[in-house]
Amino acid sequence: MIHVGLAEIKFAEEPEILRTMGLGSCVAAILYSESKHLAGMAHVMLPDSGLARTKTFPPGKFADTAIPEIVRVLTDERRIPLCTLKAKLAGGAEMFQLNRSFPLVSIGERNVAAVKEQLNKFQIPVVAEETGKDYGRTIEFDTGSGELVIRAISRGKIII
Amino acid sequence: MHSLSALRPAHLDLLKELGNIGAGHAATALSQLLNKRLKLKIPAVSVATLAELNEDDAEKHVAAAYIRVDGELEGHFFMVFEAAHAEQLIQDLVPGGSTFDSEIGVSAFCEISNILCGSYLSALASFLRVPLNQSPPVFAMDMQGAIFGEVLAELSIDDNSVILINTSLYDCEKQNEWKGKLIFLPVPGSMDVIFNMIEGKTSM
Repeated sequence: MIHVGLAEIKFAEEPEILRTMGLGSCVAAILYSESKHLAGMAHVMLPDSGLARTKTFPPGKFADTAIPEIVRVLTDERRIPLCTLKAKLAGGAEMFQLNRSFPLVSIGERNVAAVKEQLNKFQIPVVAEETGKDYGRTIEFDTGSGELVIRAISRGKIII
Repeated sequence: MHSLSALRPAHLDLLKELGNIGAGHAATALSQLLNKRLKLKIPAVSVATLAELNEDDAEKHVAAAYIRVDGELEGHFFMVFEAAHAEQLIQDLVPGGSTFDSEIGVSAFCEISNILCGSYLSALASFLRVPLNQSPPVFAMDMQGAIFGEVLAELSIDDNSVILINTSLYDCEKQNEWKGKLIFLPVPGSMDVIFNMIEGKTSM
């Protein structure tokens, strides 16, 4: 089991499982090769690196740096043809009903939209997603089967 | 203060002391509200990178109230109870066994957080001699990691690490023991007011 923490990107091959716990407004983006059983997962916190006020940051933090970084590693380093990559997404919830306390309005929804925009640029299809709504998620991606298991409190598990 | 990596042990000690003062007042307030004796654990101050944060407790089922703090010192205040403990707390406060299935349970929980945050902040404000304001509480019951996510995302704009000042409260009576946590995450850019104190400077 490989754990992907906040703002991290991790890669794994069969038979490894990529896991991230307690996703709220963050989005987990998984890019994978079905035939090579290889995947990269990013735990994206924010939509746009233009928001950053730090000189350096982990590329996994922002949608517009995380997706290009996963694509770079999978296509340049691992030599996987770009056109064979697929994506699955989970997360992007709004955890608080009264959101007025947060200046980052609808951050979950914006994270999902920003990740999709990046995937669209690389023409990587989103084959499945379980995003939005108002609950936390723990997810596990099986590099062998390409299945993404999503667990939420008192909602059981969903496989996409 | 530009980066959390510049923090020295003296800074962390001062933050711990602030947590102690704040949580001490909050514990007294809750103790009076519930009319029972409470224990307070010595606060822990930690500076953690984002990747280090989402660990053991990320999946824990908790009830949490969130309050935004602004003024001279900005930050984020959370009152967190494990779900079962939160039910116990509400039943202690609202006779008749109200729970989170009812509006009244949620309002009671939020009101407790309001009172605790208020006493925590008024202690900090008088210690630091600066005015502090608090937003109305918002409530969520879910995985702890998911509940903290939005605030961490906001803090992560300014730094790749965050500071947590964490204090636990315990019910001393054995029969219905519960434990709650008060967590304050100060905004690094606004912490000059604290650190000027140990540098011997004062803005007054």
